[in-house]
Order: sequence, then structure tokens, then C-alpha cells
Amino acid sequence: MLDSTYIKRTQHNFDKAYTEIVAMLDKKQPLSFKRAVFLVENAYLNDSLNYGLYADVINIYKKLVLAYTKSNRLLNYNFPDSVNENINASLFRVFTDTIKDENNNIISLPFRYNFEDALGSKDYESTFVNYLLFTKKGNCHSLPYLYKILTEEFNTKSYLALAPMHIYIKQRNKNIGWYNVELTSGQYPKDAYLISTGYISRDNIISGLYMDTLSLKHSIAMCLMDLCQAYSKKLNKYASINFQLQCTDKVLQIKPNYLDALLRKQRIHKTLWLNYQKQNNTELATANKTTYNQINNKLIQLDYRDVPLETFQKWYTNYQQNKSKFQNTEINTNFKTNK
Amino acid sequence: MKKLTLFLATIFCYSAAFAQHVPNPYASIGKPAPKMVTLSNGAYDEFLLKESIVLINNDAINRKTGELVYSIEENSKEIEQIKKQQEEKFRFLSVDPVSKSFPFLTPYQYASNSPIVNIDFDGMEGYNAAGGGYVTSPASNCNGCVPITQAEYQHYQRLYEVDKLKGKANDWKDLPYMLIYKPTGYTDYGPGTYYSAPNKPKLEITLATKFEGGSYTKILNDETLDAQLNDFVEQLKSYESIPEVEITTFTGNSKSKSKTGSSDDVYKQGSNIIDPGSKGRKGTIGELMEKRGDTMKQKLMDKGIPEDKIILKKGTNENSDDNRKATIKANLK
Repeated sequence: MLDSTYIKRTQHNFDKAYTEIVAMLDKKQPLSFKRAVFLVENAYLNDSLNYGLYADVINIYKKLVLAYTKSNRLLNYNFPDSVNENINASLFRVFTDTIKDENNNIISLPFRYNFEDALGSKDYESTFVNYLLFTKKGNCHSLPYLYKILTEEFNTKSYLALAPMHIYIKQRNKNIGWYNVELTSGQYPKDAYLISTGYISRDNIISGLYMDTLSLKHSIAMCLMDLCQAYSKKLNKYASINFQLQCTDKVLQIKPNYLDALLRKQRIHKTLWLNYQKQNNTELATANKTTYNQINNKLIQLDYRDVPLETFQKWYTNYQQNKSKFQNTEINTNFKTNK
Repeated sequence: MKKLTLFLATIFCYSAAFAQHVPNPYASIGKPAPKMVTLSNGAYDEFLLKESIVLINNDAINRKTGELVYSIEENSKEIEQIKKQQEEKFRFLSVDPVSKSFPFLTPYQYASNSPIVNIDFDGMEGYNAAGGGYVTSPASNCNGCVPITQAEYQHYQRLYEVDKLKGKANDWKDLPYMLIYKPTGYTDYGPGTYYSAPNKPKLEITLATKFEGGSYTKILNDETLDAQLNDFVEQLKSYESIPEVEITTFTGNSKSKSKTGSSDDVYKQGSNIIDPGSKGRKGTIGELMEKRGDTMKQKLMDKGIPEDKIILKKGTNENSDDNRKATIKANLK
């Protein structure tokens, strides 16, 4: 049993976060991915986080990356976007490698994949960027989010992209065009690898369900969906259905084929339909049933398919095993140290 | 140490993941899972396109009608198991045993993907229901042709390739015998034809100067020749009355370019120059072929074919360019 005052307080926290994110999406406030991510995590953690502290830690990483780019430069990259590419490569290095100073003192350790709780099923907090910043353990949710936040800070563009049960980064340079950044394993995988092993069909790509780049606005809409997810995780059966519907409708207004929102909306309408049927309220029951069917049809059009949990496990463990096979070798990662 | 722990962790995850989930439709009768052909050879789970039932949030939805078929209870322990069964339903029970020979066909097809024209009585490739003959053999258009298996054909082809690699195939002394069963109204169906048609049996003995992959049915070495002859004789004896058997001996195949039109002359074939008049240890090649014809006749007689039914023909090539020209000229007159 949850305390009614506790429910009220958390509802208040989530409402506050919701209004601010929606204000961003409605252009009443500047778009900030960093802020949106913070709002979600703060709401889940009972308004206990400090935005100043969070921004400071991100600033430290920003300075570290800049210091690294100053003392190292990419070898053999002679294209107009070399400044950006140098920053991106340094950022990737900071994410995946140990950084040492001139005297070989360790300054920073790489971020590691959280094998103990990859999906946040034990502790939902472990999918948060804040958790990543303070424990250096992350998953396919927090790692690309932090990467995106930092590239927003540097203004070198990066885009979140979706795969079944997975988020990764897409970037572009003038040398080779689009490439993928996979931070969970610290590699640049090829598209072919993602398609052949990641449960992605041809229709999924055509319909834009997976492997499409997400704009900043779409990314913030994703944060709104995260808020909804965190809300239902937090309050379980006490979660208000109206709030969840509010979130999903807003997200679908911005990105109509966002899978998580569609799935949640489908589930909500099914429970509503069954509840009204029990109460013998046929009018509302049929109304909910038709929306439920509409969403199902939409998901079938998008060629959605359920991914078994084991498939996901296989996917990420096999990737660790056969890294070299799936590596995009066109990307230049060789640095020369300035002395 | 850190690396080691990471390595161990991945190994653990890997083995844990791979130990599970091989869809097994025979599980209920205690048999192991059948072999499956997949893109990644079993390394990853793969899905089939356009399955008729889609699972959305534990609801099974019919793809065509969009209706709810059934739903799995939210907290039931059987969710994963039911999902697995869902996948198994769409699997074929076994892999097509000849799927490797047909890379252009999916391993999951029936009767070479033409279920109206073909039947599939033995689980191999499709069999033309109207004309007879396997669909992949062009001879399926030939009425009454009896196909030999492709495996048999490939076996002899391989034997010949090995000989060729060893340089033996160019040496006329070691060239293998060939038997060609030709159907009535024989037409060249092009490369890849392999069939036997016992309507009007013909036994041809030739030297495999160059393997064209064309109308040769069987390339035999001396050891298997006898067994093959037995088969041939059995085929002959299955007729009501034993038909005439033609034994033709000639030294080239129809595609050889002969300058004078006679197969006894020197002719060029690619880089191999074979001179039927040239002397080997056992005499000229023409003599050798005649001898072979005689031995063949003797062997057939030993096996109970009456002598008057056996016609020994000396090697003239019906299909040679000059012969064809001559017939055209004759027709023009």
C-alpha cells in the first residue's frame, strides 16, 4: 500500500516535469535535451537531484574532451569538418578509453556496460544518466543519452537512432557520410550488422520505425515517453491512466510512429476497454476497442514484431564476441599526440 | 584482472544465451531439434516475414483481420514459452535435403516453388506432374525420359574433374568410357541435361576429350563400367522384345570442330590436339576405339543380348558441321 500523500507528491513532481517538457515542445521554452533528461530523472527520484551539480559534472566531461582535443589531433583527416570530427573522436575516446595525463596518471576511466542490470529490471535508476555519471556504469539508454547531451554542448551534431530494445547514435562526416556509434561496446558497427542480427526487417526501415535519425525535438519527445515509463514504474497500479494518455498523445502528436508510445497506448486502451465492458458501459467500451484496433493495425503496418528477451541477450553478448567482424573500418580513430 | 572479469562475464552471458532456445517441434516426443537453415547459421534468432499472428503486448493479433486471437496473462510464467511456441508453429519440420544444390531456391519451399505444375513425391526437387522428370532438368519436357539423380551425375563429373586436375584426362590412354542413353527424337537440351530414355536404346562409346557438361550422361572408369553395363542390360530386358542396340565408336564429341569433317582426321579442340592416327602404346586411337567397340559387343553378348541385335557402327559424327551442311545441301536440291 502506498501512502496517499506520497502518491500526491509524486504526481505533483511528474506533473511539474511534464509541463516543462511540453513547454519545450510547444516552443514556449528553448529546446534542451540536457534539461529534459534531468527533469525525468529528478521526477523519478522525488525531486532530490540538483540541476547545478548535474550540469557541473557534464561540464567536467566537456572540459576533459576539449583538453584531449587540444593535445591530440586526428591523423590523416583533411576535410572541412575536421574540427568537429576531432571533437567527436575525442569524445568517443573519453567514453571508451582510459585517459591519462603526461605523467601517466589516470584522469578518467571509460564508461562500462552494466552487465548486472542491463535493462534496469532490478533497479530502474540504473538506466539514468545521473547513475552513469556517478558510477560510470550505463546501458543502451543512458550512454547514448549522455553522448547526445555532450554533442549538443559542443554543437557537433549527433542523432539518436532506434533499434529493437536498443538506442544508438548516428553521426555524419564529410569523409564517409553517415556512420553508427555504438557506446555499449565502444565500436562503430556497420548497418548490415544491425539489420542482420538486430531483428530489423526491411519494412521496419522503410516505415521509419527503426534506424531513422531523431531530431532534437523527437529526442525530447522521447524524454516525455521516458517520463511516462518512469511514472508507471514508480506508482505501478496507482498510476493515473489520464496522465499516461496525456504523455503518449503528446508524443504521438510529434512523432506518430514512436514505438514505445504506441505500445503503451495500446495497453492502456485495452485495459480501458475491458474495464468499461465489465461496467456494462458499451459506448465507451466500443470506443476504446476501436482505438485499440487502430493502434494494432498501425503497428502491423509498421511491421512491428515482439523481440524475445533471449534474442536481446544473444545480440549484445555476441556483439562482444565478434567485435572485429562488425567494425566499420572506414572511420579514422588514429590520434597523434602533440608534445 | 578487469579484462578477465569482463571476459568471464561475457562468456557466461554467451553460454547462458546460447544454451537456450532452439525451437524444437519434437520436444513432446523426446526427440532432438531438427537442423535448420538460417542466414547466420544459428548464431542469431531470425524471424520469418509476414507471420500470420503478431504478438503486441502479449496480445496475439491476426495480421490480416486485425482481430485479437488470444492474449497471454500479464504475470504468467509461461509468456516466454508461449512466445517460443509461437515461433515454432511457423517452422518447417526439416530442412530440404537437396537445398544446397539449389541456391536459387529458398530451403523452405514445396515442389520447387511451383506447386501447381509440379508434385513433390519424394521430398526432393519438384517433379513435373504432367510430363514427368525433375523440374530442374530441362529434359522434363521429354516424354518418357527417366531421370538419373543429380547426385549421380555430379559424382561422375567430379571424378572427371579430378582426372583433369591430375592431367590424366588429356592422356587418351586413360580416358574413361562414357555411356550415352539417348531418347527418341533426341534434341540437345543444352548444358545440364542428364537423363536416360530407354525408348530406343543406343550405346555409344566415346573418348572424353573435353567435358562440356552437355549431353554426357555418365563418365565411367573401368571398375564401374561393368556394373553400369548390367544396369543397361536390365533396362533392355525390361522390354517385351529386346530392341536393337547401337554401339557407336567415335573419337570426338559433336562440338569438336573438324576441318575435313571426318573424326578420323587430326582435329583441334582448344589446346588439346588429339590425333586419331597417332600411335600410342596400344596402337592408333582409331584402332583402340574399334577394340573397345568389340569388347563392348562381347560383353553385351556375354550378358545375354543376341548378336544380331547388336549393331556396331564406326564413328561418324551425325552432328558434325560438314554433315549438317551436306544434309542442308541435299534438302535444297
